[in-house]
Amino acid sequence: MITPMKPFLIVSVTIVLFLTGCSKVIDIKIEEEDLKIVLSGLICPDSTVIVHISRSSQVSGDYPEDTGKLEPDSMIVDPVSLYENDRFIGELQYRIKSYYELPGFKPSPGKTYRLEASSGELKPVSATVVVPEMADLTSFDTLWIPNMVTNPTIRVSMQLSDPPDQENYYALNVLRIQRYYDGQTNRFTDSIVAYGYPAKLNGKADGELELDFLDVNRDVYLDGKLFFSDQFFDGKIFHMSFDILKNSIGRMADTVLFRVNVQQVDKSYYDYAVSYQKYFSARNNPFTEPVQVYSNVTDGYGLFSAYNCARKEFVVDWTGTQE
Amino acid sequence: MDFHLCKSFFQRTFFFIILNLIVFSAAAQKITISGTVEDRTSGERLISANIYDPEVFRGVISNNYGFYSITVPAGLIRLVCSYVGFQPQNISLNLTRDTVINLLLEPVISMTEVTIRGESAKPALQSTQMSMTELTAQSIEKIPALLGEVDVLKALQLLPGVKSGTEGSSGIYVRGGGPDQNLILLDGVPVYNVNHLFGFFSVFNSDAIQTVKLITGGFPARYGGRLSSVLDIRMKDGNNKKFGVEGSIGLIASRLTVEGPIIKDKTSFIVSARRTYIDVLAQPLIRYIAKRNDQPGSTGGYYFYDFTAKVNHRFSDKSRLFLSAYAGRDKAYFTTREESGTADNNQDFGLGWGNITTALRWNYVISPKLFCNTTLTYSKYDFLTSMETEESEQDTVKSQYAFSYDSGIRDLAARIDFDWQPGPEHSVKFGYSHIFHQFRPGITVFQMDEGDLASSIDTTYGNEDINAQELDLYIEDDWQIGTRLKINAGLHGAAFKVQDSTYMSLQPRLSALFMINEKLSIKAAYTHMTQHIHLLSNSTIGLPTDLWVPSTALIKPQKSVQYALGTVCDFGNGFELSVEGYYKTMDNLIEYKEGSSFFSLTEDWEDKLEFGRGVAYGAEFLLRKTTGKTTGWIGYTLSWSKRKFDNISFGEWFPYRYDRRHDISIVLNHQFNDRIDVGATWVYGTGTAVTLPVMTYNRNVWPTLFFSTDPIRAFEGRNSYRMPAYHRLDIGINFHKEKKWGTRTWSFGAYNAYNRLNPFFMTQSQVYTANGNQYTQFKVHSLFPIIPYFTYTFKLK
Repeated sequence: MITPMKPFLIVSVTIVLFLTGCSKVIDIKIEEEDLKIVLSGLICPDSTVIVHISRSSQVSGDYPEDTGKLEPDSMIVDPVSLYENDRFIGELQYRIKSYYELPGFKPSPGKTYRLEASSGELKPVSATVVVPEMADLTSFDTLWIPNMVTNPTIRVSMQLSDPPDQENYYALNVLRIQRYYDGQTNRFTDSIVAYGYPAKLNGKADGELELDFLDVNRDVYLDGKLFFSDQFFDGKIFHMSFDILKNSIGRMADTVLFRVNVQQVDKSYYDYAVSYQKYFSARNNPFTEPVQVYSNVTDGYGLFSAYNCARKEFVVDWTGTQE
Repeated sequence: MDFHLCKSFFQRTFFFIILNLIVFSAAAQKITISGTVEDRTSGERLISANIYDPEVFRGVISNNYGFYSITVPAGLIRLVCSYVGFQPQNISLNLTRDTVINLLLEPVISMTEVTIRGESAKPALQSTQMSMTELTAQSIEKIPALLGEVDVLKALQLLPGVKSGTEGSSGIYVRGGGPDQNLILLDGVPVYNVNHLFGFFSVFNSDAIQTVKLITGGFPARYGGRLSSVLDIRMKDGNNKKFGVEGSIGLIASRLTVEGPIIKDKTSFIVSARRTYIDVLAQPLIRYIAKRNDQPGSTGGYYFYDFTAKVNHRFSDKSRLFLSAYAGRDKAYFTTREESGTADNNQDFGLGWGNITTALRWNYVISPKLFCNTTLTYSKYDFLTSMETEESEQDTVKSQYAFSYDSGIRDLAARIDFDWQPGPEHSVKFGYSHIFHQFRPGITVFQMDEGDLASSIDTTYGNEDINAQELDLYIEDDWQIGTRLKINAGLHGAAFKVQDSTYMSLQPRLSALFMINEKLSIKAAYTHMTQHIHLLSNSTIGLPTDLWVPSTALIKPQKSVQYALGTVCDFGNGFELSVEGYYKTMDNLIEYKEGSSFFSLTEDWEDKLEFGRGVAYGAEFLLRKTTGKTTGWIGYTLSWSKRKFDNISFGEWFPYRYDRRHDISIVLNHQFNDRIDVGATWVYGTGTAVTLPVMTYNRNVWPTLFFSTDPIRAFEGRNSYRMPAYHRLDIGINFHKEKKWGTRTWSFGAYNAYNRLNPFFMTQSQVYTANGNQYTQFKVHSLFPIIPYFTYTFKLK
């Protein structure tokens, strides 16, 4: 009834072996898209407006030669214009390495700024941002933790008053400042020697449960800053505290200057940080959903956003403490 | 007034009234003819057989259990019963009261008989049900198949409106819907994962199947729980006249079916099994590779199997009991054994998934006009992956690690359905079902033992099981209004209770048919559907890691509204054209968030989700030739399918991954004679939509101390890039021969006959040039070149 199995098996095995090597690869060329201008800039009331302008590159193009820098000296870039509440303020001037600055002008809180840039080859771009008010730190305090004998610890406590009935976004970082003395000029200069966010930040809003800022689903970190929104303390006083451990920050001088920055940031900066963190985590993982980095630049890429920074400084004298 | 004239007038009037009363009285006398439609040679009940009365232009179809009931005027009755593959039966009787007539149809022995007889009725033309296709096992077997494995779902993918996923995948995507939006029923029991070999074959063994019915729109009220389609697969009951054995031996799998009577004409059984032997065939190759890598004890493999069984017992003409079961499993395994001096390192890896379904069903004919079916069902799907590592030194175990991940879904359900013919113009169906669901979105067990208690770990974490209950009530009426207009109106009510949430919905269903003439009809449909369970699917890979999850307090049930309008035209000589347009909206769809991964164990599954909506619209054309030596169809679909999620693609509309603008399928079969037939299939589809970076740019944000050297890759929206188009030709030829012991068939063919390198998936890599630069190179991987096949099939007498 059934034909002999041996020749059937031989043929079957041959075909299976053939199939195991049958995957083929086809090189394909992705159609080139129009290049776009990339704006990168954060403005705040403490400094002049400085923006980095470049262009995108084809994903299948050569890099780093095709790095996307616009040639500044060839005057390809048309004026980069800044508007305040739709009123023309001025044109940013080329400074160095694709950075453009509007000297002598500092943005004001509560005002809307629009940046427009164009290049003869590329589509004009624009971005709009509102400079937030300064974060309202109602209290700032430092405290030695006496029982941390082997690892001297300073506890920093702050209270942040959040404006009600609006979405507010914040960024927090801590800088360790080294002060240098220049004997020739007889001047002190400050230099940032360490920059980061607290490893563990505790937070509690009046009447709410205590938050632990280690929730990876909620917390956003970018460029050494911890970003968070007011969703858990809208309109309330937010009590924050974190510890600075002497041994966790590397070698320090006996006397150290710390600067705590609490920035109120525009929503676009927060959205950018959220998306970039997701993008960075997922970028080489084929099992994750693709992530688009947020951009508020119309017809372009990048970020033009704003923040307003409340700063507190304090000096820690580690003299007499043990390592 | 002339007295004689008055008398004559009253006499004539009286006579006229009496005459009308007599006629009216006669016309008011209706009788109901009921019974079953069966295959005379095997006793198999025939589903959706057409029973038509040409005198009153009225017809019905047999239900899923072969039962029919038709109410006609008393007197001379003519009935014509027809079914594909069988000789039509004509009955002429003079009846004055309700009568049971069991119709026994004779199968066509020679295909040339079909050529002569053709089809005697046009079900598609005359039915209110639009967007429906029925296939028989015989028609499916004629289609050339991948590696010779005849497949139900692959055949359905050739119909307009039904799309396949990736190359070789047996998933179906219907009218812009996802793979979870198809209610796939095997003898009334839902099957949750229908894929073998990662989707290259479906779990359905065609030898055990009697009919396949696919509805893609105009859903009658008896169906619910899914948005996009209903695939109703009915198994054979088993030959209750004589024993039969049939099977086939193919390149990678073989099947065997045995059926026959336990008690002749009363009790019958059918058992069907299939198993692949890829693992056996590949063992020599695997051992060779292991030996070359100094791992002589290592081995691996993959296999799948199906097992289907059914028993049915006829207590009487009114009462029948069925018990059916299905079990199927896929398993991939890999074992390494490394020996280095006195040290051993062993690793075992396993990946498996499978379904088990069972159904206990009781049919009872309560009266000639009322049929009842009661069903108890159980369905289980599970997916398990595991890994164990053991290190030992001089036969002493030094350390052991074990990891396993388990997910799945279990259903226990009870259902009762009634078919009621209250009158000649109405055919009413109503019923109730109650389902207990148990969802397991994913449990991970991790164990570690390094020889001392201090470093032992045995922990279980992940998502808790979720229990839910689903209740459904429905009623529908197929209402004949006059001779041209027919309406099917119904209401499906559903309630879903899970944790502390209860969701209720009322889903109206309406479809209408208008016969312009005996060869042309217009149909329209309006349907609301609600779906309480969802399939979480990673868009980047197609492994069985997809999770079935319920609606919860956070996740609302999916909903859709579909409008459809179409026409069916019978050109004669077996040619039929149907054209349909549809528009469908979908709400409460779910997707993984950007940056989320199925493998991320630190997040609860609900926290990985985004919620959004979709819209799909298009037009489907199907030209079929159903009689003659050459049969087949040409199908074309023009369609759009989009999605919108607030936090995906910046909240803009983006194409659904399986949005396919153009989809063409041409299926042809030619019967030379009873011994030789050939088949060919050609398919074309617009490329799959994928997410591809189109630009890179640098982050240089001032002021900052952090400069990223990795450029950012920018996408022009989710799924903005189209892979190259897909097209393929399959050909096959069958040689049949009658032997003393039965029939044998040799089948030869080729999948992808012109060796088109169709895209399967895409990768990207950074390529470094001699001058230190780098660029991104994209490659499309193609899986199947031309693949010849041959299969040997036998059927014992």
